[in-house]
Order: sequence, then structure tokens, then C-alpha cells
Amino acid sequence: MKITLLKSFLLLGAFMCLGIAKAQTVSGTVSDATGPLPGASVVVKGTTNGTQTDFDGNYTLNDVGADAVLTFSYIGFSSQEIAVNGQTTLDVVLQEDASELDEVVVVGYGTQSKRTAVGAVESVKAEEFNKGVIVNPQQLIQGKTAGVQISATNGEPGAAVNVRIRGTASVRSNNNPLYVIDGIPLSGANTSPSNNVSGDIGTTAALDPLSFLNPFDIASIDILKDASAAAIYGSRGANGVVLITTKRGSREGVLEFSSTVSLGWIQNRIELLDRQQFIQAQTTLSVDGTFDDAGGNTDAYDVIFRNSITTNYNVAYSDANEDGDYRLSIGYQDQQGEVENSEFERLTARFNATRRYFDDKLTLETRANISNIENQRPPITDNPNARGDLLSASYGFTPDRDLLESDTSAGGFGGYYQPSAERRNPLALLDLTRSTFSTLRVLVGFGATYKFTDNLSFKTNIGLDKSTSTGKSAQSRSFLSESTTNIGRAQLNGVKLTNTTWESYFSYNKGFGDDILDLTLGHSFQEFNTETTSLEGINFETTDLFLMMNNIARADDFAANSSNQIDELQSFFFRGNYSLDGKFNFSGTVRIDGSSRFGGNNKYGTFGAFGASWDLSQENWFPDVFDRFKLRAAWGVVGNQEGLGTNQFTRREQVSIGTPGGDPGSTGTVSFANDDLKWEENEQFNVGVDFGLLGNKITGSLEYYKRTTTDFLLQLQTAQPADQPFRFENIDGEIVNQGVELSLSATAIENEDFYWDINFNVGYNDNILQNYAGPDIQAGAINGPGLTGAFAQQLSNDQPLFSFYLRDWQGLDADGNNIFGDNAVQQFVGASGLPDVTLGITQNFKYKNWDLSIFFNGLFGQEIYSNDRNAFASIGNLSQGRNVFASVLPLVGVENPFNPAEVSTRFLEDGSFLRLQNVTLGHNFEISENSIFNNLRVFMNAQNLFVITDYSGQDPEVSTPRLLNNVPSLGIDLTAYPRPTTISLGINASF
Amino acid sequence: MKKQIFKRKTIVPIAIACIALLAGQSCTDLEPTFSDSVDTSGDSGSASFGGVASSSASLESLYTSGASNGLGIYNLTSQADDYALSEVAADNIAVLTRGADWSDNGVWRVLHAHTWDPNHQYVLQVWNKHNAGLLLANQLLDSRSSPSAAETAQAQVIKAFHLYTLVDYFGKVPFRDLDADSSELPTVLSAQEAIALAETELNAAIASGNLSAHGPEAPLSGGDRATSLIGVGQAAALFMRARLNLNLEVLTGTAGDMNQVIADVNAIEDLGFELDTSDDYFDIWNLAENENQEVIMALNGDTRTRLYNQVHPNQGGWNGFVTLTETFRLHGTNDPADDARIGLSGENVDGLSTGYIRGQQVGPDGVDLTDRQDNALVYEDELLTSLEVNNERNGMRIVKYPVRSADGGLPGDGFRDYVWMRFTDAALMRAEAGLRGGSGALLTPLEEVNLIRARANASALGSLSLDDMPDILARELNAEGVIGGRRIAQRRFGLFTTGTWEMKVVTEDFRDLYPIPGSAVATNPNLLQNEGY
Repeated sequence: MKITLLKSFLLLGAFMCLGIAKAQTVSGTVSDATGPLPGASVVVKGTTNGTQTDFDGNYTLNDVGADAVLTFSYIGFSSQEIAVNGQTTLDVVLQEDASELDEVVVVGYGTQSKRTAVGAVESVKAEEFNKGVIVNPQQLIQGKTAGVQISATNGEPGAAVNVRIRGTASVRSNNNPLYVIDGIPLSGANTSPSNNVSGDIGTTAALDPLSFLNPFDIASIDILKDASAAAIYGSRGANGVVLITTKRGSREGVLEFSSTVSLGWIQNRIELLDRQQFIQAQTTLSVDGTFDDAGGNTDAYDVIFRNSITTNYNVAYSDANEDGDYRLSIGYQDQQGEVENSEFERLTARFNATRRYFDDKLTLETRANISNIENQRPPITDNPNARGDLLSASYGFTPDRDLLESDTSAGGFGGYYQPSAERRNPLALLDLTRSTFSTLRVLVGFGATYKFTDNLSFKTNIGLDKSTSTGKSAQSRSFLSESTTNIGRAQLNGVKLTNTTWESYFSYNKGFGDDILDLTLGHSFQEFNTETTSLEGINFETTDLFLMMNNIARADDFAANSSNQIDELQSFFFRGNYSLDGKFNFSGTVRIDGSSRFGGNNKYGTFGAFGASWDLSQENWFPDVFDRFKLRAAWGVVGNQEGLGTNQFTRREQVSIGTPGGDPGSTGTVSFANDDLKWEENEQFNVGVDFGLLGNKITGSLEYYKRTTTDFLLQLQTAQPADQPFRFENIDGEIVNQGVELSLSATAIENEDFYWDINFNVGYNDNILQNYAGPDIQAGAINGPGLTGAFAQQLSNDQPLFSFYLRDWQGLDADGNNIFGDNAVQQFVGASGLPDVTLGITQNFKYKNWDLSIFFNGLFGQEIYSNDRNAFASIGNLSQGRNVFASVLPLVGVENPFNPAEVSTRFLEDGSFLRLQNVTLGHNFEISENSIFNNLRVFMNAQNLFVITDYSGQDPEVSTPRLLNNVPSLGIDLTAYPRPTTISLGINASF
Repeated sequence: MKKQIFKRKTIVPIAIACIALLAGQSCTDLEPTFSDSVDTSGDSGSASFGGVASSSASLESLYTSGASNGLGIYNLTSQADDYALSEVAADNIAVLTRGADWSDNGVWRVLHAHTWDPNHQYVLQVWNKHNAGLLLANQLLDSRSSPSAAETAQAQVIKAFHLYTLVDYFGKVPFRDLDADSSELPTVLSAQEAIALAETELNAAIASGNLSAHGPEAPLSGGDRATSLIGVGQAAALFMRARLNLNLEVLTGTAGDMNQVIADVNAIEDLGFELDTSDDYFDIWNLAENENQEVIMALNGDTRTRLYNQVHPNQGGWNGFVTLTETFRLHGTNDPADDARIGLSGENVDGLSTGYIRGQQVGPDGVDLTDRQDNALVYEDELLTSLEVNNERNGMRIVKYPVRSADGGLPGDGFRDYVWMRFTDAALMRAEAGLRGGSGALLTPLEEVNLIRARANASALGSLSLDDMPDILARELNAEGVIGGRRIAQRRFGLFTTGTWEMKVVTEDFRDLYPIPGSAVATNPNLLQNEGY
């Protein structure tokens, strides 16, 4: 009241001074390219009459002279001055300032200026996104931020993407961050079934659940890296939080169109022996010096690889006025994989709308997304056994044979050369098996905000995330394998997720002179409902794969099962930020999370963080060369409950699926009492400095962090006798990640015609497991001929996670047999699958209307175990008559043909690499006043042009999930879908 | 002023509504739902036991469940786990690494060479499955599970089997109180305590009259499991008790009652089981026909692991397991007159015969087969020398299950009748019990053994001593691996560690027992590691 009074006095004074100018009220909306700007300052120039925009960018300013000039300003944006000229409505779009230090970041339940932020938060805007063929939104920001490692597990369209923010903090839990889309926290669950191919072929992980989002609809992706920022998400914030904000209407009537056409191919193929080399090698190996040439000539790669065409179209219409805005968009992507039978087709539609009522007191908004993905997946699996999947069948197929063979006495079966279940034919795998998936996902959020006063508002947000997915697979009776020959199999698998969210919170924001107080208090409730169904039929007369999948009653015997798991999460959260004098900032956060996944003794957990920052550049004594120099420090505790799964703490029984025509399902105990079961706890400490130099031509930040995970979850051997061999337990011990991150942006040249900037980020992370007294756990299963039960990693105290545990291979003796150190005992070899250093370098050039962007990313210090070489590049394979990698050629006549390929350092390689990930050359056409275009741009883009690496495999950025003892692996390469090189041509236009 | 009033009038109710909204959201107690599972914790807290959800389903699990690496006894058909520990580690079977095949991180080699350690995968799996089976049997037998009389009797026998097996391999058995909190560590039963418990359960089951007293004519499967050959009947319980008593000294240090062994085998005979003397000896393992009088109990599990793990890929097999050449040579020459019948090849089906498989192998069309290096596929009668480096032909093979598919291809799901307990095994127990001083048999041990030899067209022995028994057992029971298999037979004669055979030297005494798995010791400090490990 006092302040209002004071203002009134001042206003009165101003009024009297200005005299005759007639006063009026001006209102409007201040926005930026992506949407309204809350907290922007609107001041009558030359006076103290001013206000701030509300949460939706709206302002109302009374007593404005008709000829007054309003100054609109906002941190991180260039100020604008506009003459009122009698208008009562003034909508303004502010342009971003070059300096990234002033940007606004989304922080969860609100936004914050990066200038006053205390936590480690990074924001990547749409302009900076990676271009080209992109399926998953995570790939948009690969390499863009320090300390954030983003790697697709392989090259399949839509393949799961691993995101590791500041290292790997958990053993068995999903280490991916929490994803929040327009305020709705997603569940970490897969939305589609995994690709489970019968006939001993194996299983591939489900596609990435985020592939339902169209990258075209995304305005910004913000990453909360430390506890201070992520604590607002409590028991789900330990791996960091990725907030995805979708685009909304921001200008009047804009029609946007974009399209790209892309060509992809597998550039780096593992070289195999050709027909001549194969015959030569077999002749050398054979006892009598002869080889019975089958007379065929096959290059298996010709059969499985292809050049792919991908097309992408997007159309969006958006509009905005003083009462609200909306944006409607439709996107379509039809992506071919570079392996046959691999297709990804996505149709998305999105409607985002905001509308304000009652003097802008009430704001209603909706964010609705619907997406349909139809995809086909080839029989490339994560766990091909000795018999193999499509890739290993291609490696092993004898090049002196033809793929087709109708004569059964010559090894023909079903028209293909399939001499035994041990010998796979890649063409038979392609033609006689089929897996298709259809996934519909709807994500709808509805929010209502009511503003009681200029300072206090209340928001409630209701979200529904529903996905339904069906996977259909069939394996023909003509496919020779132990479980399909003369039988045939088909599977229907369904996954249905229904996640509901209801969150409400109060926000209070008030300025006191140069100080700003910002409070948030709220409650959140989420329910995650997961249903699965599975049906398998065997014994088909027909060999028609479509009939088998679509009329499964043609089978004679069946097995079926279903499941339904419900998890609930209820939370209370509070955040207080105080900005003092514009240079000291304090932040404190508390979140209390209750989860139905926690045991009875730990139903609720409390998480929180506090932090402070000091902008030294505001101090008079600080060197002027710095435009910005902000010190930050924060400490907090966050949690991770992803690894828990549904109710692992009550003794309960379930009936498992049986075998079709065989045993019925049997009852078994799925979990037993453990009232102490709870989340993993992650204590995080962060210090950093944000700086800007030379008129913010150079900006950057340098950070040190330490993350310590305690009470981490392991599935331990149960003390027998027990219903289950394993049980979940929170383990004493610490997983420590500590590291340093440096981001630098420099504008090297900036003049009217030419512009060059460099963005550089590098992160160093050191990982170790310590004070762990539990048992050593074997991990990293190795598959292949003669490799049953083999493993390459082990979890042990004082070792980094994913440490390789191998025999020390020292070469071959005179007889061509292995020489191993230390009695051929497996041991730690000082290597891990975790990278030490992540690197991203982006350079942007602009010359007149041309622009060029070149982006390198790299990972350094990680080792890769080539399970491929171990399994398919051994002399033993060649001597059994299979084809092998060309790298075996020098060993023919040197290595004993029966020397076993033991798991050893022989197959461990340096996985460091630097990749030219993305090059984009674009041209913006000059648009004349009366053109129908607002904007027209064409561009050419290349992805994955080359990789500099010593790794001998197809691609060093690879990790096949090789789960063993429920401990995941990292850095094992086994028949990974190859990573393509892609060239795209694209056009963006707006009207 | 009007605005102020508006504010007051509307803001307060809206604020109240907002707070009510917040309160209304807070409506969950976070209690777990059991929509796809059954809560089986007891009334006195989540840790207590409230009885199994269904006694019949739990009994079914004792037979079939694949949980815990196969706690159901039908999973004994695996070539790994029990079979590996009892046969591959003993003097009948070896698994040879052949280039890119069967190295399997050395699991088979260390078993045969007796160099295993507490982290051996199969040691752990055997520990887990029998302990899990034991616990489930205990749960089913608990009064709160309300098992029927027939369920009780079968579960008692299965429980005794698990107790016996754990003592055989590990010398002790952990015991979990069903009502104890799961964080409470199981106590440990000594071998004597565990075996006493097993005897109590067996005696109760046998005396109860609640086991099916069927003879060999019982159906192979279908209908009621309890009255079929794949269920635990009275004869199976008697067989189990005979086996336990015969091995009691090895298990507990106290000699067993040999009269009881003989009485139990006599009782099995009284139920109608006898030596199968039909024309084709290998029909014993062709249960689909079920015309023999021999099989006491079969398991509904995969039999391919006793056929295809032996033969070469060009015969459709996996080419890892071989029988020791020394074991084959126990049969003497190729002359049927003084060779046991098992030493000869059985009927040739699709080029593949039964019995000891040796010499030039032929395909279904009779054409000589080669290996994958184009050498003639000949299994030679030569002593094996290396576990680690072998060509594809090394080692002779033993196959008791006839190939049944007509087209020579792999037979799919057809191979599901695994012979577990058979009368010849019981008769040999009776003979040995006689040699160990037991009485009550109609036939002398020599007569009993000579009957078995006569069936094999082998000449009669003139005399028989206990020392002859190991070779007699090897000839008849090679590769079968039933209830302790070859290993416990060798232990009974003190030969398991002190004996030498192909690729096995004398090993230290402590290897008579397997180590407690490393992770089991780590999770339960009450468990002391076995001496020597």
C-alpha cells in the first residue's frame, strides 16, 4: 500500500509537470519469438511510471500521456521504445540480446532469468537445434551443452537415446533424466513393446518413447543440471531434468511450412571376406588343402543394406492477439532405415492455445499433441546367440553360396539356403520374419491460471498422457530354427500407458526496490497405469506372415498373459528465490514426494536444495573488462525412483506365461516384503561462474560439480532360501561423479556482411563406486558362438561403473594358441565404458544471406568391447565354415583354427572419437514487401560426414544393452544397427 | 472502490476454491494396488506369511516353474546346473571347447578339471533353484496354505529331494522362518539336521497312503499329474528314500540302513516295476511308446539336451558333450559276448543311432558326413587330452534318447519325456545295499547284476564285490545324471577327488563339496564357506 501511495504521489507530480498532456491507459502483451514474457518492464520514458508484465506477458499501465514514449525492456532482450500516439493497445515483440547470460530459462513450475539463476541451468533454443533427419528430441541438443552426453544406442530410426547429465549416478536404474513436456512430467516407461523375435533371433529394446514429439513443434529445451535446479522435481530429479517447451502462437497469422528430403546410406561397413578371399582362406585352413567351392557368389550386404529416402513435411498456422494465441501444426515424417525392413513413419498433430479472460485475470491454456507411429523393425537384436540375427547372419554367410536354394538335399529349406539351424541366411531372415509396430500417443495438458493480484497467482494443470501400442511379429515355418521349423510362430504384444497428472501451485512474485521475491508453493499428483498384453501362437499351416499376424487363430496352440501395474506419486513442493540488489540471489527448494513404489517405512521422502549467487560485475571494484561475472554455489539432495518398479516390497504372487502347447503358466512370487525400500539419494554440490567479456562478445561458464549417490538400488542375490533369487535393496555405498564443465561462446567476427561465432563446450567427468561392501556383480554379457555365460564387466568397489573385467591377452604362442597373463583369470584392466570427456564445437558463419553451421561432437576416454569381433571375427568361426571379418585374414595359417576366442583384452578397443556430426548450409531469400512470403529459406544439411577414431567397428558411438544380473552394461558393441550418413535438402517458408 | 469490492467478493471464494482444489488433490494413501498379482503377506504385517494363494498352483510350480533358474523339478532336464555339477565334474562326461564352440567362459572346463571357485555360475544356479524349491515346498506345507492330503504328500517328497540335493552339493542348508522379516537372515541347518528333516518328510509321505500307488502302466501325462508317470507317486518316494539311505554316510557321516534300501526297492518291485527286457533296450528312453515296465518317474522336460548337445552340427547337434573314452572302454571289446549292450549302437534312425556313437557318421541318406573343415566325420576311440583345444571330431558320444523325427530335421517340441527314475537304477541300489551288508532281497547282488548283464547280452559275472560296483554303475547309468548322478556314486566309493580320469588329476578333498556361492556367503553371514574355498 505504501508503495502504491508513493507511486501515486510521483504520478501526481509527473502529471502536474507534464501539464496538459491527456492521460490514458495503455495495455498489451510483451512477448518474444517463442511466447509471452512475464516480468518484462514497461516504463513511461523519462518518468518512474512503470509496471511489469504478468505471467502471460500482459501489462496495463495507467496515466500514460497520449504522446508519451513507452520503454519495454527485459533481461536478455534489446529494449524497445514505442510512441503511444494515442493508441490504447501496444503489443510488443522483444528481440533477444546476443548475450546468452540474459536469457530466460524454464525451471519447472515457472521461468527464471538466467541472470538471477542460482542453479546450473542451460537452455537451447530452436535456432540452435541440430538439423537433418531427427527422430527424437534429445538429438536436437546433442553436443550443445557441456556435461550432457546424448547418444543414440545405435543407428535405427527412433532407437533409444541415452542422455547422461553429469555422468552416470545409478547402477541399475534408468539413468535418463526426467522429461517434462510443457509442465507435464512424463513417466520413464517405454510406450511400445520391445521387438522380440522368436526363433532364437533375440530381442531389441523398444524405440525411444520420446519419438512421439515432432522436433518442429519444439521451441526450447532446458536442462536442469544441478540439485538447486532439479530439486523441485524431488525424487525424480537425480539425473537432471529436461524441460521441453513447445511452440505457441506469437504473431498475427503466420503460416509456416517446412520440408526436407534426405538420402541416407551406411558409409562405414565392416569389411568381410569376399568370395575369393573366403575360398583362399578355407583352402589354407582345410586339412587336405582343398575346399569344395559351392559355386555361388553372395555379398550379404547387398541384401540387407540400402540407400534410404526420408521425407519430412510440417505445416503450422499460428495467431496471437491481446486475448490469447494459438498454434496448430501437423507434421509427417516417413523415414526409411538403411537396413531393409526398417521403416519409421510418424504423423503428429499439435494444438497449443492460450486465452485470457476477465481483465486477464484468468488464463486458460491447452497443449495437445497426438502422434501416430507406424514402424517396421528388422531382425537385428541386442542378444543374438551363437546362431545370430540379421547382421551376424550377414557376417557369417558363406560368400561362395547363393542365398536362394530350392533343392533340399543341397541345404535348401523353404526356398532359401538354410543348411541347419546353426547357419542363418540373411535373406531368409528378411523374408521369413516380420515385426511391425503401431503406437498412438496422446499428450494433452490443460491449465488454468488465476491472478489474484499482480503478485499472486494460482495455477492448476491437468494432464493426460495416453499411449497404446501394438507389436505384431511372425516367423514363418519355413524359417529354419529350433523353435520355428515346420511350426511357425506369431506374437501380438500390446502396451498401454495411461498417465494422469494434476498439479496446482501458487506463485508469488513481488519487487521491493531492486529486490525481487519469488515464491512457489504447490502440490502434485500423478498416476501411472501400465497395461500389457501378450499372445503367442504356434503351429501355423500358412507361411503368409501377414495372415499369421492378422489372423492368429490360424495357429493351433497359444499362450497368453496380461499385466496391469499402477503407480502413484504425490508431492508437495516449495521454492523461494530472493534477489538482493540485483547482484545477490538466493534460492531454496523443498519437495516432499510420496510414492506407491516406496516401502511402508519410507512412504514419503524429503528433497531439497539451496544455493546462492553473486554477480561480481555489479560491484564497482570489479574489472570493467567483465560485463558479467557471476559466482554460483548450490547444494542439495535429490532422488531417483526409476529403478524401483511397481511394488517390490510386498510378498505377492503372479502366474507367468506358459509355452504354447506346452506347460501352462506357473505361479510364482514376484517380490517379497521389504518395508525399507526407497529411492536412491543423490547429494549434489555445484560451484560455477558465468562470465561475459568484451561487450559480451565472449561469454561462458565454468563449473565444478560433485554428485554422490547413496542408497543406490541393486537387485542383489537374496539370502537363500527365497522365493526369488534376487531382491531389490538400497545399498550402502557411494557412486561418485565429479567433474568440470566449460562452455564458451565467442563472436569472432561481427559486421554488416559477415558473422562468425564459435560455441565450445567440454565436460570432464570422473566416476567411481566407493565404500561398497556388497558382492562383486558380473555384468556385461557377451554373446556368440562358444560364449554362453561369458561376461566382460564387473561391478566392484573402487572401480568406475561399467569397468571391463577381462583376461589379459598377450598374443599367440608358436602353436597359434592364446597367451594370457595371470593364469587367464579375468581381472580389471583399468578401462571403463564411460567417457571421461564430452566435447561439442559449433561454428556459425553468416555471409549476407548465406549461413553455414558446422558442428563436431566427440567423446574421449571410453573403451569399447567389440563383442562383434569376439563373436564373428574369430578364426574358429572361419574354420567352422562361416565367413568372418576381413581382419581375420592375416591370422589364417598363424592362429590355431581351434583356438578359442575367450573374452579378453584382445577385443577391447579405444572408443574415443570426434565426429563431424552436422553441417548445414542455408540461404535466406530477400523478401520484398509485396511477396507472399514472410520468410523463405533453403538449406542443405549433412549428418555424420566422418568420424575420426581408432575403433575398428562400424561406429564408436554405440552401446548394445547387455544386461546381466540385472546390471546394465555400457560400451559393448554387438550387432548394433549401423549408423548412417545422411544428406538432406530442405526448405522453410512462412507466409 | 467498486473494484475493491469486486476483488473482495470474488477473490476470497476463488482463493478458497483453489485451496480446496489443492486439498482435493491430496487424496491418495499411496497404498499399492494388486490388480495383476495376489497379496500373500499375512495379517500380522507385510513380512509375515499368509499362506500361498493357491495350493494346487504352488504344487504345479514345484513341478514346472522356471523361476529362480528353474525351481520346478522338470527343469532338471537342463544340460547345465545339476547335470553339469553331477556329470560333467565326474568321470563319465566332458564338455570340450572346440574353437568357436563351447568355451562358454570356461564354465565346463573348470567343472571337469575340478578348478571351480565360489563364483561359478552353475554352483550359484543350483544353490538358488533348490533353495527356492525348498522354500516353496515349505510354504505349501504350511497349514495356512491349506494343502490337500495328496498335495502334502507330493510336496513332502519334493522337499526331501531338495534337502538331499543341497546337502549332497553343499553339505548344509539355509533355513528361513516363513514368518520372519525378509531382512532377517536365514539360519543354517547342518547336513545331519537337513537329512533328518528329509527323512521325516519322506517317511510321512510314504506312510500316509496319500501318494498314488501306480505301476508302470500309469499314463505318461494328462489327467491328474499325481497319478501319471510325471507325478510323484509312491514308487518315486520309495526310490528317493532308497537313494537317501544308500548315500547317508556320504551325506551325514552316519551309515544308512541298507535293509531299508532293499525293502524300499522291493516295495517298488511290488508295485509292478521291473527290468525292461523288451527287444529294444533304448525304448526305455522312448517314453512316447511307454511300453516298458522300467520307468518309475519321468519329467516333462526337454530331452534334446541329452541328444543334440552331443552330436555334430552336421547331424543337427551342438557338438560339445562327449563321453570319456575310458568309460566307453569299460565295456571291453566290440564283441557282444562280453560287452554290455549299452556299448553297442542302437537302431539307426536318420543316420543317427543310440548308445555309444563312434566311427564314421552318416547322414539320413546314408552318405558319409564330413565336419565343417571337410574332414571325414569320424568319432575315434582315442583318449582325450585337452579340454581347451579340440577339433570337431574329438570324443565319442553317448545318446540314449532315440531320434524320433521322421524327416531328419530337428524335432521341435516333441521331445518332452525325460526318464528320471528307472528300475534298473533301483535294482543296482538294491544290489549295492546287499554288498554293503543289507538283507531282505530275493536275489543276491551277483544275481541282480547278472540279470542286468543278461539283458545286455553280456556274459554273467562269476563273482561280485563292492569294488566292482563303480564300473557296473558307469556302464549302465552313464550320462543319466539322476539324483546326484555319477558324482555321488563316485563320492560313495571315495573316488570323486582322489580318482583320475581323462583331463582330471587327483584334486584336494575339499572339492568333494561344492563351495557355497560367493554371493550367498556375502548375503548371509550365518553361512560359513565350506572348508578349502
